[in-house]
Amino acid sequence: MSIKEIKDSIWEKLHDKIQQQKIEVKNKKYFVFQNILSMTSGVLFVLLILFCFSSIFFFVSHNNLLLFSHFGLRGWQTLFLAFPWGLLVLTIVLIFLLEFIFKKYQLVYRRPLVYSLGIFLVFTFIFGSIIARTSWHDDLLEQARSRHLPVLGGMYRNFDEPKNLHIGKLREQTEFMWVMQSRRGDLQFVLISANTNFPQGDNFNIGDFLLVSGIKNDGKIEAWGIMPFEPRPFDKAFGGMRQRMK
Amino acid sequence: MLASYQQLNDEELAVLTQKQDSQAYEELVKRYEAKMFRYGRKFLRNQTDIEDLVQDTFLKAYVNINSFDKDLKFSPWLYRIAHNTFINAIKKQEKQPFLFFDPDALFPHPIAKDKTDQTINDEQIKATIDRCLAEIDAKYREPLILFYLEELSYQEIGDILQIPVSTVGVRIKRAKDKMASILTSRLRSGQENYEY
Repeated sequence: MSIKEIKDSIWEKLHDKIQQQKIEVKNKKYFVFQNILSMTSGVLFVLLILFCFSSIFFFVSHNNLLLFSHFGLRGWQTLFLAFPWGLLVLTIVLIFLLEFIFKKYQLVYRRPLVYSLGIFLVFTFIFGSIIARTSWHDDLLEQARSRHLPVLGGMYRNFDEPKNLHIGKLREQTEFMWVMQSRRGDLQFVLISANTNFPQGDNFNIGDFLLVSGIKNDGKIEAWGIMPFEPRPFDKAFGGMRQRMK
Repeated sequence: MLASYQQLNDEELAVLTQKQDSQAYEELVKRYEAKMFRYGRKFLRNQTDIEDLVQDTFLKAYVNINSFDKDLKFSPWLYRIAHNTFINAIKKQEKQPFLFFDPDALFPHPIAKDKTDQTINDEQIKATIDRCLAEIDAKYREPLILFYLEELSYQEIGDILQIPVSTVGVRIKRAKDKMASILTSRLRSGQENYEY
């Protein structure tokens, strides 16, 4: 069939199809609803991304993870193992999904992807760190500890116990064993040996907060690194704001 | 009756179609059917059911006419629907992998000058494109067709393919480079008898 022949018949065929199959024009409200849905899901994704990103910031600050750079290569290794990679991967996936949702809008597709991604990453970084500085995550963690937080409770309780990392308040001190009280209130026994590093000195007093890195074996922590720990102002397990105000 | 419709522009006809005026849509179909067939034939080299696909394009445009924004141009909107319809047909046939993001659209590129006025009337370029199209990837073939054969601007092509204008320039340049290498190899093997 030549283009000329097709040209002569296409409107007739199209018209017949519309009539026979009773094809109707979609209502304007359908597209308005579609746009609202897409914008709403976009906003939800933004909130979810901010939540995930600020959770990572919170986790790092809650456990003073950045102090581990003082422990050298082994410290970085511990930091790597304790880091919430799953949360980071989820955040990246959500950012790409968000880009996909907004890809149909001129504002997004008319610029190279790297621009919109870059702008969004900066936005996420700034607002994520601001949220992490508030007491919001600490309050959620507190609810998780008292088992009043459904769904996210498990994730928050894991924030309290990163892999091979132990935090507590020094209660007793002997030459080879220190006793500290964890956030949950239980006592932890820390074995001190010649291999234990004190990058910021070993001058600790009873009542000081400790960050201990080491594998827990038979209820005792074989410490290879101990540092002073600085609890967040809102860390209620360690007294929170009230203790500081005293 | 249709004579008065002929005096209206595409956007005015689309607005009338939104108000259930089927004669307005008939005029739009008549204005664009040849273009859509040409676009389909060039883009979907091996497809035999182009008529069905063009019909499908006009049907989708009709069903979704209320999503057309009267403040924008009608032609890129229709080409966008055709692009999606043709791409889906290619995917069905060639089982191409789904790309979440196009690497060409990732980074900024310097925008090449839109040389429509200088080159579009050059029939030799159009004829050369026609001979090489089959050997160029669909990704690069499409902007080449839209620019040289459908005579759309970089901005309109960007809106149809939903990519930055600079990426349109990059794809057209790559398509032209590919054409040059095809023609060079043909010249060497004696299949072409003129200089590119």
